[in-house]
Formats: sequence, C-alpha cells, structure tokens
Amino acid sequence: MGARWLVVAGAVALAACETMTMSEPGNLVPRTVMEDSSLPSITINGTRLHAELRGDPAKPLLVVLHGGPGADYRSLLPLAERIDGYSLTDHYRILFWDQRGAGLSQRHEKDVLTIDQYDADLLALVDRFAPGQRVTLLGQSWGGMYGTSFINRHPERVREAIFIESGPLRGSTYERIKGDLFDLNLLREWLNDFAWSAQFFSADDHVRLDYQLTIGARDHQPRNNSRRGPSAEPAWRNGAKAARYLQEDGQDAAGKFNYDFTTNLQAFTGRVLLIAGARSEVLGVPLQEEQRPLYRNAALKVVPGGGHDVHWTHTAQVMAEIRAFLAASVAGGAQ
Amino acid sequence: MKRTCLVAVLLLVGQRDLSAQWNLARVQPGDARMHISMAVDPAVITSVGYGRFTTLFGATTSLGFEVGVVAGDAELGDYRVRLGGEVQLVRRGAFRVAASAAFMTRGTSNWVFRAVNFGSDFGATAGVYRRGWFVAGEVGFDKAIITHLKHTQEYRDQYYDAKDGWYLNNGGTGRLGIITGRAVGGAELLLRAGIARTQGGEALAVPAYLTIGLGFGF
Repeated sequence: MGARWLVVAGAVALAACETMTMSEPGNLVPRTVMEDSSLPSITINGTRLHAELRGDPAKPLLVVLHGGPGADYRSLLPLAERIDGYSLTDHYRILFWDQRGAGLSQRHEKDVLTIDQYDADLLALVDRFAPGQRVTLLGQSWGGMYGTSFINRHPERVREAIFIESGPLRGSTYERIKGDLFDLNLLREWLNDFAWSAQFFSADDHVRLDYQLTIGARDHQPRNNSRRGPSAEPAWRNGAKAARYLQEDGQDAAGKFNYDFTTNLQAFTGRVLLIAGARSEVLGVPLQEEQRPLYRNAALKVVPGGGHDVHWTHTAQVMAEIRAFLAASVAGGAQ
Repeated sequence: MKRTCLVAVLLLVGQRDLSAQWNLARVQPGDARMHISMAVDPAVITSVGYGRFTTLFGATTSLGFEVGVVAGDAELGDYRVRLGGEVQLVRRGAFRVAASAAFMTRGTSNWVFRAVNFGSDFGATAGVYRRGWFVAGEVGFDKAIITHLKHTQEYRDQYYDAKDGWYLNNGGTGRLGIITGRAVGGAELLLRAGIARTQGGEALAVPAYLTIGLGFGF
C-alpha cells in the first residue's frame, strides 16, 4: 500500500513539473520554413527551400552554395555586404538558399536526399532565376564539391565559379584524406559528448537528429583550425539526414567513397577561382593545389591566417580576391 | 518548482534497484560483489559497482549500484549512476532466466548544453550458467524519461531562443546482445556485447556496445 502511494505521489509530482517536448519545433533548434511562414522561401521540385535573393533582378545571377552537406548559408551572408566600397550586388543578383533537407529548408527522407536530386534542384533554380543564361557559382567546402558536380554535368550553364576551401572532388581523394580530416580518437571529448547524448534523448525525428548533430559538428575536424567561441562561424541548423544520405549516396556498398565529380570537368572552359585558408591543414592549400589542375582554367589564392572558415573570419580578404577575379567578367559584361 | 521536480524524481528512483549481470551460478543469498568495468556504451565509460544478493519472495535477487565516468572529460561532467536489482525468475538445471530493473541519473556537459537525465532500464537475460562460466542472451530497453537541459552561451550565440528546462518522454535505446563470463580464481571476467537502436529503430552514432568487466565476490 505504501509503495503504491509513493508511485502515485511521484507521478503527480512529476506531472506538476513544467515539462516540454524536444520534438516541438523551436524548442531546441530553429523552425524550418514549414513551421515558420515568416521565413523567405522558394518552392521547386516538390520541396520548400529557405532562400532569399539580394540585388537587382536585371543583373546576372550568382548562386551561393553552402557547406555541409546539411549546413546552411548564414555564415556566407557577409559576402553580400559592402566591404571597402564594393559589394557583389553591384554587379550580380545573389541567390542564397539552404539546400534540400538542410539549414531551415524543408526536411525529407532518404529517397530524395541524393546527388541526382541535388543536381536537379540547382538546375531548377538556375532555370527559374536565369532562364537560358549562364550563372556564377560561389561555393564553400561541400558547396565547392556541389558546384563542381553541377559544372561536371552542365558545363554550358555556368559562366565562372568561386570555390572556397572546396572538399575532395573524387571519392578516392576523400578516402585518402579522411583519416587526417576527422578526429576519431575514441577518448576525445567531442566524440564521447556526441555518443553520450544518446543517454539523454534518442534521435528519432528531424529535430532531435539535427540537434544531436550540432553537438558533434563543432569539433570533429580540428585540423580545419576554425574559430571557436563567441565569434565562431554562425549557423542556423544542421540537416542530419541530408548530411548522412548525401554522403552515403557517394559511397559504395562497403561504405567507401566512390563518387567522381570530375569526369567531364575538362569540358568546362570558364574560369574558376579556388580560395584556401593558409591555416586549414587538410582541406586548405594541399588539397586545393592538388585539385586545381582538374579544372581547365583555375587559379588558387591563399588567405593568410584563415582556416576552413576563412570566408567568415577573413571576409574582407576573401572579398578582395573575389572582386579581383570577377573584375574581368564585369568589364566584359557578365553575360 | 525545482524542489517539486526533485521530489518527484527521488520518489521514482526509490522504487527499484539495479545490478550488473554476473554468474548466477556462483552467488548465494548473503554474498556481495564489487566490479569494475570499461565499456563503449554508448560513450567510453569506466564504472565501479557494488551488489548484494538476497532472497526476495523466494527468488535470488541482487540489489546494487554502479557509478561511471565518461572518458575525455576532465571535469567529470559526464557520468552515470545506476541503482537497481536483478531477480532470477526461472531455474531449470543450468538454464536460468533473470530480469533486471534499474533507475539511473546521468549527466553531461558539452558545448551545446549541460543536462541531467533520469531514466529507467528494464532487461532480461536467458542462458546457461555453470560455476566456471556462463553465456546468456540479453534484451533490454533504456528509457530516457526526463531530461533537464540548460543551453550554453555559445549555443545561444547560434540560437538565442533555445529553451532551457525539463523535457519529458525523450525516447530511449533498445539493445540485443550476449553476455559471457568466466571464473578466474575468486574473480570473474565478463564480456558483454551487442547492438543498440533508438526507440524509433534508428541506428545510434555508436550502433554497438561492448563491456569488459572484472568482478570480485566476498
């Protein structure tokens, strides 16, 4: 009888606590465009993307491709600001967007989180906002890989490209460097924090998956030498399933990366600017030097003091390189 | 309100106990056992525990506790404390079936949040137990009942509106595996391994668990 009373009393007291639900949109991670109608969005190919356009609609289109896969464009927004009297919007209309299943865009399941679907999404955006025209691509990290994959498939739709700290363009390269890139020491705090979080909640829906990924996202690539603390690269929200399934789509049945975004790259005659942070040990100068010849017409610029997040920490220097690179296009008329 | 929550949790924790799984053929009511273990479950965790065996409703039952600290954390902010028990339900020769129940509190501190959780673990084992060795299969479910989150300033710099407080019904982790042990003198070596899935059937970041333990009876 006493034990029964204790159970009832415990349950009543527990019910008196002001409890919340992790899966409720907005509690742990920001709402996506599906839950917050005030966010700017575009609907294409059956998905609603968090997206915004900056600049004059009459100007040629520059499409920004964020990193990840699964991250968002928040840290790339300063590239649209006026720096040293220059803004990309002086000459371009800029499209910022969170890729399918990423950032604040609509969430999806595995069947539509593929490289083919991502290619179709980018092509649909280009067709909608620059029909019949060539566009300029600006990608960071995975965004550089994504942009290169698009060039590889549609060289006729791209005028030029700027890729900042692009990831490996071939699966074989990824396989070779991943041991240097990821810190998978079992005794590392970040890895144990990430794994231990499963004791507090199980990642059974998009909110909890995205939240859990955030725990591991900051420190899993220490040799990127990205900034930490209050002025670290900002992000809205990770898309865990996009991150997972896009990577899986580039792997064979044994889990080895086997994608190749360079099979037709020599068909692209436009110019490419590669930008590396001097302090980015794995994805920086060594990788960009190695990958530069894969494009017919690419130049590499190195920003001193920058890590993998060089676009965020050294925005002015990055913009100066982009401005110099684009000057030729602007002088000749971007179209 | 905080006091109300604490009372609620203590009332629930006080209902049951836990112990680790050891060779049921080597224990009798009145025995006690200490153990140390290292595990990947789901992080790398080192634990010590104590259990005492008694007879409850005619069945051999163990009551005990275990304290574990997760690797890689200099401030000991990642921990687990388990209280619980195990009762032997069936004995047919060397074949035995046992059920366990545990309540636990867990803490963590990472760059996104500090958290404390109160959860339960229910499991069952069935296998062959002889004095020199045993091997058994196990199934179990670890429920993360209620979790208190307090977000860090670094995460608020990313998402200012993240909500601190108590979160209820946060899912859980199911497991399926084997346990085997071998007597070495007065001690007992234990190996436990298996696979784990979330309540919704998703793979965990670390989809398997492995424990190596050493127990001493007295």
